[in-house]
Amino acid sequence: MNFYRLIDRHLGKILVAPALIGLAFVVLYPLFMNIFMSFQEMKLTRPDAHGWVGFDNYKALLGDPVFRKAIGNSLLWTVLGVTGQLLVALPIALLLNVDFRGRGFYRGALLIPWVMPSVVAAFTWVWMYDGSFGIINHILMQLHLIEKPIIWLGKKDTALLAVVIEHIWKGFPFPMVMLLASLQTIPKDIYEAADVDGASRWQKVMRITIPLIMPTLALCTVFLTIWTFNSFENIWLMTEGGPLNASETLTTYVYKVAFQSFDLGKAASSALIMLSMLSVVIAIYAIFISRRQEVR
Amino acid sequence: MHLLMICIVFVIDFPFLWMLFTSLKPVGETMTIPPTFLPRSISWDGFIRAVDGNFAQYFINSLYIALITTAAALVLGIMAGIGFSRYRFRGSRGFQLGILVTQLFPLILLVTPYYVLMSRFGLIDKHLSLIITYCAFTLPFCVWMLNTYFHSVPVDMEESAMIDGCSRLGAYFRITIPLAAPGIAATAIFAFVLAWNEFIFANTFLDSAAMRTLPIGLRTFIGQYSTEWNVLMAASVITTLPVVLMFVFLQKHFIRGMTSGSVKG
Repeated sequence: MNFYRLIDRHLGKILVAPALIGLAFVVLYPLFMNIFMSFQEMKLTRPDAHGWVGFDNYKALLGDPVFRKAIGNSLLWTVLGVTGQLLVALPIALLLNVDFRGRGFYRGALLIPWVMPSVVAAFTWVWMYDGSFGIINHILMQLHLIEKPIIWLGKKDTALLAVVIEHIWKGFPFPMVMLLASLQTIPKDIYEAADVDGASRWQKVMRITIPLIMPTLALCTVFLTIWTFNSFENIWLMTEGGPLNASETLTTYVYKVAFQSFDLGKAASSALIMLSMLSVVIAIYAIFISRRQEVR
Repeated sequence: MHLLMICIVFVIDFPFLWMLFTSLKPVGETMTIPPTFLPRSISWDGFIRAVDGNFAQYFINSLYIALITTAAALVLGIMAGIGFSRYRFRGSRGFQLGILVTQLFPLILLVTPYYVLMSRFGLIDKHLSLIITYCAFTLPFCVWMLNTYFHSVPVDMEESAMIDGCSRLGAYFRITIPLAAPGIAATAIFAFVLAWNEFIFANTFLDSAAMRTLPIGLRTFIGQYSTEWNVLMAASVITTLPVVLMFVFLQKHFIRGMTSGSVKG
């Protein structure tokens, strides 16, 4: 009897405990481990050399031109990826918001990119981008937009862009669904009132729709930024950061340093720099969002 | 309007269709210039060759890892979801925020420490390493989703059950959890899909061929000099099918679960 009473009294904590332990494992352990490792020399190729080296790893990073290129690419990648996903998601969400028969089917069909395993999506796009037999080159040539096949993933100028397109394609369904749900909560009367006042279509979108979906739009942007900045699989599987680091992002850089150069200390430091960059961006968003709340 | 939507869907779903069509072509037809859209003759050769060898093993590996991960994530997630929504603790808001913070982490940040940890416990090249890892990083999002969902289940339901003589725990089992079924279904799909599709950790932790999961197995079809695309696409179709089917049948629940918490009112 006492045992059950005990459980009942502490039930809340018991329920939550495993999840919190898991959380600590996911957040605290890697964080501290990385911080610890970043100040050590930990090269698996030279197991004898280990010990505290202070900021040497960080200095090595800042002196590495590939690292600097990776930072630039990561920023470019994130800006293009997030903007692209939103630019595709919003108009489609607006279209799906119109009440027409069978729109549930269309919405489901448009989820397919998001649902496909990233490995499958990556390989399918590699195949589509193929220089000799790829369908994209074929279509572009049929439309007379290009004259000869382009080796999209093999050329410095096009590699990053090509992967960004795959990323936008794969990721847009998430903001599309979120924005659609948000659009559906806007009551119709507001639009009708605007019609009575003689508002144009454009005015209705700019003055009613966009402001009302702003919270969801902001939330989506935050998530998309995080996920895009952190993305690894598609870039790795499509270009491995090449050619010649043209599509090298911070994620591929960290992976290469850890599992090709086996320099775990340097990998940890670069991972931490990545995390700090992301935190700064998110902090800026958080401030931006809370300012808007105050205005309301 | 329908015409517009059909065009959009066709453009967006084109890569998926392209994957399907390529998988049904005989290998010669994948290497024609100009390429053909629909296969001129349907050949199951891609599928036959894809399933040859270790592929069935990869499928089984992926399946049971995903199922165990989903089960574990659900149990722990439901517990935490009920805990956070029904009880006030000091710092419970902080914890909930902390859960959101975990979404921030690049998986790359986790790879090195986890690799070190797993090798210390001798779990490299064992499936347990993946199950633990997948549970760990699915859990925050699952807890978040389930938490927002459980918030929408009114507490009065449990209280009236308890007035009728049910224990608190019993009320949770008989009332709360069934009421939250769509959210639970959505979370289950999310966890399963995440484990099924995962690549980075499977690539890093596993070595031997027999241990591989589908995403890793898929990569072995890329040859050093040339790739047989019809075989790779066939293997891709097999890998994608369970997930796509799940979504086709359950997308309503999933979308409801995903959006219920974030949209006010």
